[in-house]
Amino acid sequence: MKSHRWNGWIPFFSKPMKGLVLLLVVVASGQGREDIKSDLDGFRQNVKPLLQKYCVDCHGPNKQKGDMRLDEIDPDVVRGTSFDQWEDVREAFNSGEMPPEEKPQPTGAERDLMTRWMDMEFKKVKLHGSTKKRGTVRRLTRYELKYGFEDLLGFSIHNEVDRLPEEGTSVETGLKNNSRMLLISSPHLESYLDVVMTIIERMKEIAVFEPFVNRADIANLDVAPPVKYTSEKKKIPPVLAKVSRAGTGIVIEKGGYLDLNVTSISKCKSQTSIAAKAESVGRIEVAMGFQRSDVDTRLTFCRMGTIDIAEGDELRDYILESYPEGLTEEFTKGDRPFFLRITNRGAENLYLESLEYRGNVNTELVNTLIPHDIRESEVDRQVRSKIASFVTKAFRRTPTEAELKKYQQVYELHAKEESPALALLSAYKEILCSPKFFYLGLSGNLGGKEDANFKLAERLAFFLWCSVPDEPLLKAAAEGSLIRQPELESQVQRMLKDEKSRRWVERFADQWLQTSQLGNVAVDRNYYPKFKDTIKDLMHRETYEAVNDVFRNGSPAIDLLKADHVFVNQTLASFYKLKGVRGEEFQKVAVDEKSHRGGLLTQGTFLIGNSDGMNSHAILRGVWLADVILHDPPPDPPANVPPLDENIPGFNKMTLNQKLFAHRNNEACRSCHRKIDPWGIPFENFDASGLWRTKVLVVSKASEPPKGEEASAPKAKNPAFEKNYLEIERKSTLEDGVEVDGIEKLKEYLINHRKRDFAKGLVERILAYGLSRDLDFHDEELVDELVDHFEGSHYSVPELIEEIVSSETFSKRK
Amino acid sequence: MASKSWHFERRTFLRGAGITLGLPFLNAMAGASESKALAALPKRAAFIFFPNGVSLPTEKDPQHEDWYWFPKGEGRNFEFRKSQEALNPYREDLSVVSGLSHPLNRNSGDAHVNPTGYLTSKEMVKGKTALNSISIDQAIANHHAGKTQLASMPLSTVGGVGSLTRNYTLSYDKDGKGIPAWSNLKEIYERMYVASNPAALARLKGKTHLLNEIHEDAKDLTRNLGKEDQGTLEEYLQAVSELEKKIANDRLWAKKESATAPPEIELDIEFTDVENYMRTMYDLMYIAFKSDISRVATYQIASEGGTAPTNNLSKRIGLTQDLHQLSHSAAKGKEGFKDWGIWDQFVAKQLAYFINRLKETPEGDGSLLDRTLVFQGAATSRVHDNTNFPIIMAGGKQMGHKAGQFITYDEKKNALSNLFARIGNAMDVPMENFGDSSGIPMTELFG
Repeated sequence: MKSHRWNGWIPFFSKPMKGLVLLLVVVASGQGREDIKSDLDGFRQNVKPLLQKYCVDCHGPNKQKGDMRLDEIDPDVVRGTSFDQWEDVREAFNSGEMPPEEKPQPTGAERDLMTRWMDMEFKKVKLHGSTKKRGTVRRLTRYELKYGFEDLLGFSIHNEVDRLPEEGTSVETGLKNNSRMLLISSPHLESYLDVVMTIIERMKEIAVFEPFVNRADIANLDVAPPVKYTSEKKKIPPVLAKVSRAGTGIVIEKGGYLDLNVTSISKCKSQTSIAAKAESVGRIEVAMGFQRSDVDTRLTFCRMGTIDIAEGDELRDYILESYPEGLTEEFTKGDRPFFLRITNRGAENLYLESLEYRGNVNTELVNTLIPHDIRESEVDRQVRSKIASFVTKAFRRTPTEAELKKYQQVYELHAKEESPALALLSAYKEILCSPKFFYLGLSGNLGGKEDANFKLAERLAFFLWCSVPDEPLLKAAAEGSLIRQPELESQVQRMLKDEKSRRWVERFADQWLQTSQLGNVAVDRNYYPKFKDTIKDLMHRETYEAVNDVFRNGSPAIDLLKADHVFVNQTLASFYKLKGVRGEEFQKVAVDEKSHRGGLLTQGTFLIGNSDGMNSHAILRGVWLADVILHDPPPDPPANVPPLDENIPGFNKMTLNQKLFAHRNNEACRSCHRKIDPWGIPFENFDASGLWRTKVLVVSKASEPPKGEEASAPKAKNPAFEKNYLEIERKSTLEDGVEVDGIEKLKEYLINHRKRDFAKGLVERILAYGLSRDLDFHDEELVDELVDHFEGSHYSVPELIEEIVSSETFSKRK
Repeated sequence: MASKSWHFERRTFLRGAGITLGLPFLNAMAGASESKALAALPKRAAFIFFPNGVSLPTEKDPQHEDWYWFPKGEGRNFEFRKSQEALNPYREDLSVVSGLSHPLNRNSGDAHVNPTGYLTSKEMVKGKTALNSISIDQAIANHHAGKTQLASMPLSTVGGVGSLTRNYTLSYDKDGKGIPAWSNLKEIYERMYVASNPAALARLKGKTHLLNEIHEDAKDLTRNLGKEDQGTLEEYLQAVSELEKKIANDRLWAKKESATAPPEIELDIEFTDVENYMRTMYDLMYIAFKSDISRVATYQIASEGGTAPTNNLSKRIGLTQDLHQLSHSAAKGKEGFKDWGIWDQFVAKQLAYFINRLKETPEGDGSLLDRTLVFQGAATSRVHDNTNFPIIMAGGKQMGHKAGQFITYDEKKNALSNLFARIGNAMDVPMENFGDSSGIPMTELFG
């Protein structure tokens, strides 16, 4: 229940968006609840004088620090209008944050009086509770729509959903599936209809393509074809090189290649299949090519992908799938004599026994619609069952007779003009446009118990898969067993094992950890000439793998704070200067302290994401750590922050952090920065490209620009720069007085002192995601229980998820 | 492969050569008296935004003379400095306004929330405000709904809605929800010329059918719902019925649209080709106004903040810093304000291009510019300072705009929303106030 962004600011100790709590409290009025009343006399006699004495100076008529005014606060905590403020007061007071150190402090007895009164009032609020049903209906998010379409249609969705507006993020949790943020307007709805129409149109286009196969006759391949000439000088490039025969197959040497003529460019998915083996790990590059003409014999290529060949004696089959979107325009323009080239990009010889190219691979799609080999008389029955199962999945419940009839009629209408497969797609289109697909939490006209089961199936699926439930889940719901243990537990375990739960891991990790910052920071080439942007994708992947290991494999969540391993592939490992990692798959690799890596804190995603692209940024890193990892967001910066003062001597040659700290010495800034900077300074050994360093590089413009420059002409792209190397300053004193020197010490401190904060933050965000809403006061008890259990289970996220979904709050969706 | 439903020849459009399109309303007015015909000519308004404010070096700064955004002098005796000199040919057609802003937003905290309230004046507090209020362009568009094929054209370089702190649209509907802006030039064009596009026509028909089905389905849903959920569904049903109206209007106009061929124009341009993209956006607005396809447009040239995809536009025109850096570090380098001024100069040049196209197109007794009000500004003066927006208002002489002046308002007594209300009046919308305005008549600018 915390705000999490620091690029703006909210008043000093406010926790925003508590209007919701207030609403619940005010609306409530069950029987007997009228008797629960605030202790107004106690306020007048004990609390008010204390507020006057210690608070009103800064939070009263003269000053309203942090937008907080306490002389006018409504003492009726239960029914009054100041519940939000009371929550803030209570937290600030209990944590000792207020009154500030330098101001007079209340005596022990006074403190007691105040705490007891507030505790009592908050208990009453809880008892008073709320009889109002909380909303459960929400529309799907953009990414849920994408996954939902994919699961229902068995078809990969590219960027069609991008035209939908991006969902707003909850200010409290940073999550995107918050029911209150998922609004809709007419242009949005129109975009949605456009999206569905576009997808179905594309599927219809593809469904009518004729699949084709081109196969290389390896067994009879002539490995020494004669060279051909079109004229004296123009030699037609050979269809193979460095290839020799070996039994029924061939051996391709390092750098050797083989071409296969291809009938035409595939208009949808294509598959390149090979049967191959290699003595050590190998790699094949697959490219599409054409020769300009017989006269102009130059070749043009477009790379389609690579196939990694495992080491071993056994012949194995490999398939590379590709799409025409990956080809350059030259290839899609017209028909030419195309060919497919496979090249051995490994270090050793490679043995190949078959090579096949399949174009227009729509069989899967067509089969999903109507199986190819079906008898005419069977079509109607097939269609009926297809529609029934599609509606069941799309609406996440047993369809009504009327619904089935309706979509059957849509099919029949279209079948007069279209083939059965296309007419079926027309029916699917209407199902997907229905609000019964677009909204979660709706009831069909089912009985209470059945309804509860189906709703639980829906909630589970959108929680752990970001998509619709599958058949086993719906079956358990239909049987009424889902809501009970052990069925619920075994379904959750099955769901986490399913690859679809990776979607949740990735989407949740992005929202929780704010990974989008990585893409937003451009790493400056003046500072890091060797940095390649493709490294960023690998770093992002590293973060996903680390979270996946915890969320799905059940490694302790504490690994995210500090770990003796990292997730890298060879390229990323060599960027991080870790030795001995081979292969482009990501692997869990053990590291020691000398590597300076392990856990989220030392991942490039956050080191780059929280920098300015040139230098480290202790403030951004500090805010990220406090907010995301410790779940204790610092107050936001005030309005009209003075710009950095360039008149400080030597300003241009300072590191970014030195400049920022000079600014911090301003009295107004210091009180906040005290809570931020100490968290960011221990990261100073990492530069803005995520690498370890022992000196800080500062690049500044070389003195005077050339005279007589045209005023309006843009500057030359590369003005002269000066490079200076400065000492690292990485020692900091945390708010509780502990001194931390560098990243290892920081991690140690977190493990020893802040584990529970981290655990609580993670529990709260996972719970809020599962419930698709912000948490509030009424969830506190559940959160505490979950955190206790989480600690007891050695921070096992799979166990935490089982606890969450078995809780009444989740399963009954309160 | 994305299906290309239709094609038109990608010949380069000769800019400035004009488009051979009859003005629909002139035909309609044949035989009317001259004054009647003139009075019936449509009025249009365009609202343009650029991010991060403008270069405003202090007077002591040697760059002040040339690169301070606001002109020298005052009233009718003003003189543009270097960054705005592209506008010199039109100085009698425009006014420069200083001292206006949205007072409610001065304490919003995060300066990057301000652009969200740019055309609404609503107080946007990060973390507290969930919805905006209606924007002035939509207030005008709603009043004139049904008169043109497109009630308004919400344009932006990024497109979509964005978030409260990083808005990608300037237009907000009557409930304060962002209207997804259009950024793809081809798509904008297709929306303008639906009737010439069989696939688009078929889609309209398809949408009408789908909306009918949705209506049917929605009837089943309202049972057994709590209050909050009912609200959620009501919101949906409202969107459905609004969309029904909109599609009906689209279909009506698709039938009406004259047989004249759509103009040929190069549309295969990405926003990274900054100048061509901006000019094509202006071309499309110009064509829409001239052919009475729409009378209201908004155009967000770039979004604020260092993370917006448009942040590096300045780098693409040859500057060494991105937009965010330009504004934040202007005071640091020796020539920071000059660099920023060069960006300002670029923005002014494109605006001049738009004004020129409107001015060189004759209409009625003058030019298209006389009945088109072009409002351009930013939502801060400089970096995070939420006062004194840099505003230029061009055209609209026949709409009551007293052009040819540089007016400085007293920041304490005036709000930008007063000017919006007056623009609303100039567009024949009867409103005394808009947003947080206080009914100031502003007779020095309008009358």
